[in-house]
Amino acid sequence: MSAPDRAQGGSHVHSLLRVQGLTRRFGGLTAVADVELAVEAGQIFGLIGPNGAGKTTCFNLITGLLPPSAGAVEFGGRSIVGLAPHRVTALGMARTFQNIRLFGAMTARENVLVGAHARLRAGVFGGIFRTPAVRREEAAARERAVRLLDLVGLGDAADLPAAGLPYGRQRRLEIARALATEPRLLCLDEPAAGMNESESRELMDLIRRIREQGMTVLLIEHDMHVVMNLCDRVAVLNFGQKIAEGSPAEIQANPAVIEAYLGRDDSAAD
Amino acid sequence: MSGIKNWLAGTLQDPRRAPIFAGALVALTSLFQVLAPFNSLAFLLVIVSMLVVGKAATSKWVKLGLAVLVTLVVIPVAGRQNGALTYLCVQMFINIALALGLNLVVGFAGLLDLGYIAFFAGGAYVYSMFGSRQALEFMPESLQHLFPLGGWWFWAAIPIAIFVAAFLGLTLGLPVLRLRGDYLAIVTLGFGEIIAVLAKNLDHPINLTNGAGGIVGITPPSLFGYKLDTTLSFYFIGIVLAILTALAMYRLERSRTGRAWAAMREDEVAARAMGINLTKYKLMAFMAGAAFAGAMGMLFAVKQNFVSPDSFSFLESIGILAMVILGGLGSLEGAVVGAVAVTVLKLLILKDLADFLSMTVKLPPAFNIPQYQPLIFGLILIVMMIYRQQGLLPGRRPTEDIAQLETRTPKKNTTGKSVGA
Ligand SMILES: Nc1ncnc2c1ncn2[C@@H]1O[C@H](COP(=O)(O)OP(=O)(O)OP(=O)(O)O)[C@@H](O)[C@H]1O
Ligand SMILES: [Mg+2]
Repeated sequence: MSAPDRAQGGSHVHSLLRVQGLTRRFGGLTAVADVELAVEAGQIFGLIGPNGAGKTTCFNLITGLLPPSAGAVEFGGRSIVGLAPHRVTALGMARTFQNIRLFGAMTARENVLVGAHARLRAGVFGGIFRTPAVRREEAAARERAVRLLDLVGLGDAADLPAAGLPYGRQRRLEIARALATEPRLLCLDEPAAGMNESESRELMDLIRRIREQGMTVLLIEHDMHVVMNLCDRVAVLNFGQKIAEGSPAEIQANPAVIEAYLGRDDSAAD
Repeated sequence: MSGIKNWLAGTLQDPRRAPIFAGALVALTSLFQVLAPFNSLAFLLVIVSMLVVGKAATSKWVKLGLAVLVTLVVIPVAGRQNGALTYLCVQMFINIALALGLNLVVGFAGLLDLGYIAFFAGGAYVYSMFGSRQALEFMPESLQHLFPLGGWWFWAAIPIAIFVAAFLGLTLGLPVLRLRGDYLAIVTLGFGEIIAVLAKNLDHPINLTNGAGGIVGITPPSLFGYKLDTTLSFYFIGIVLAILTALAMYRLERSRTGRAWAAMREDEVAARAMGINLTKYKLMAFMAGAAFAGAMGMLFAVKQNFVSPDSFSFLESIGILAMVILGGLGSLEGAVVGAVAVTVLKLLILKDLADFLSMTVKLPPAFNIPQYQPLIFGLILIVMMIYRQQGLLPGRRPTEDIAQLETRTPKKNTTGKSVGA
C-alpha cells in the first residue's frame, strides 16, 4: 500500500533493530524461542500471534525490562543486551504497555513530561535554584508536551489526572508519553485493544502520522484489520517461535499462520 | 452548626468579605495572644486563624502580609514575656522542615524511611563535635587552639552538615536499593538505630561523641560579631530555614527530578521505560531528604545547647513520619500542617492537659500523666487512620481512581505476573 520501497527489504546490515536467536525461558516454559527479527528504519512492522505467543515478552527483552536467556539485540548498529531500560530509552527506543501503565495520580501533561525525562538535563540543584537555563529547558519541554498532547487528541485533557481518563484516551496518552522520549523506534503493545472502530481508525491515522515524522514503529496488535492496513511487514509468533514473516498479504495466505492463528477465529481480537 | 459552617465557607470564598474576615480574625487572635502571652488557647487560636487565612479567597500578598505580621510581630512580642512560646515555635519550625524533608523521601519518592532522625542526628553531631569543647577530646594538640569553633562557623557548617547528612543518606540508600515496602522499612529502621548506637558508643577508643552523656556547651551562631544565643534568634533562624526548605520542596516537586520521583513512586516499571534511572533517583531521594534534616539538626543542637543519643531515638523518627502521614502523604501543605499539629499537640495540648488533670484529679503520684502522652498521641493517630486515611490535606494520590484503572482494563490483558505487560 503506502509502504515506501526502502521498507520492503529483508534483513540487511543497516536494520534499525536486529534481533537474533532471542530466547527467554520462565522456568520450564520457553516464552520466546530463537526469534529473529529485522526492522528497517521507516517501517511499520507488525508482530502478531495468538494469546501467550510471547509478543509482550519480546518487547520486554528488546527494551531491556527483562534479560534474555540467550540471543542478541542490536539497535542502530549497537548491541543493547544487558543495557538498563533507561539507557535503551536514551538511545531512542520507546514503548507503550499492553496493560496501560500510566502514572495515574499525575496529570496527562506531567505524564508526557516524564516521558521527556531522558531529553532534559536539569538536576536537583537546577530544580531548586531554577537557573535561567533550567527555566528555558522546562518551558520548551512544556510547549512540546502540549504539542504531543494535541497530536494524540488530548489537548483538552492536559491538566486532568491520567487515572481518570477514559480507556481509549489513556492508550493515546501512553503513546504521547512514549513520543516525548523522542524515539527512533516506537514499540506499541496492542494500542487498539479495547478501542471501538472509530477510535481504532483514528489510531491508525495517528500511527501513520508518526511514521511520516520519520519514526519506525514496531506494533503488536490483535486487530487484524489494523495490522493488515497499517503494516509494511508482519512477523508471526506462536508458542514463542516465529512461524512466518512477510507482507500482510503473504501472511494472510500463509497456511501455517491460518492454522495457528487466523484459522481459529478470524477476528482473533476478541 | 451547619449554618455557621455555611456562613464561614461562604465568607471564605467571597473575595470581598474574605480578606476582611481573615484580617479581623488574625487581628483579634493576635491581640488576645499579645495580651495573654501565657494562654495556650490564645496560641491555638492564632494557629487556627492562620489556617483560616490559608483557606481564604484572597491574594497571596494579603496572606503573606498576615503571616508576616503573626510570625515577625505577634509571636516575638508575646514571646518576650513567655519564652516557652518562642521555644515551642523553634521546635515547630524544625519539625516543619523535618516533615517536609521526610515527605520528599516517603511522599514524593515513595520510599518508606523509618530512620529519618539519623540524618538530623548527623547534622546535630557534626556541628556539636567541633563547635564545643568536645573537639579538644579528639583533635590533635597542635590544632586544639582552634576549638571550639567560633560562632560564625555555624554558617559555614550548614553546607558541611548538609553534605554529611547527604552522605549518610547515600550510605543508607546504597544497601536498600533493591528493597521495597516492609523490607525497606526494616532496614531504614535499623539504620536509625545504628546511628543512635554509634552516637552512644563513639566515646571510645577516641571520645568523639561523649557517649550517652552527650555534648554540652555548643557555640551559638554569631552574625557580624553579635552572638545569636537567644531563643528569639533561633526562632528567626528557624523560620528562615523552614521557609527555604518549603521553597526548595515546592520547586523540586515541580522539577524534572520531582516528576521522576513521582513516576518512580507510581510505577517503577513504567518509570524505567521512560528513561528514569531508578538507582540514581532513589539515591538522590535519600540524599536530598537527608540534607534538609542535616541543616535542621544544627539548629536543634544550638537551640538545646546539648545533644545526646536520647534526642534521636526511633520514636522521634516515628514522630516525624506521623506528622507527614497525619498531614497527608505527598503534600507540602499537609507536611506543614501535620508538623504544626503534632508539635502543638505534643508540646502544648497534651502537656496542658496533663497539668490540668494532675491539678484537678487527685491521682496517685505513680500515675504520671505526661508519660501517657504517647498513648494519647497514638490513639489520635489510630482514629485519624480510620476516619481520614489520606491525612488532613491529602496530596495528589487518587488511589481509588487507580483501582478503577485496573478494572477498566479488559480482562484478557490483565496478566499481572509478566514484568512489562
Ligand atoms: N514474568 C513472567 N513469568 C513467568 N511467565 C511469564 C512471564 N511473562 C510472561 N510469561 C509467560 O510467557 C508466555 C508469553 O507471554 P506474553 O505475555 O509474552 O504473551 P503475548 O504474546 O503478549 O500474549 P497476549 O496476546 O495475551 O498479550 C505466557 O505463557 C506467559 O504466561
Ligand atoms: Mg502481550
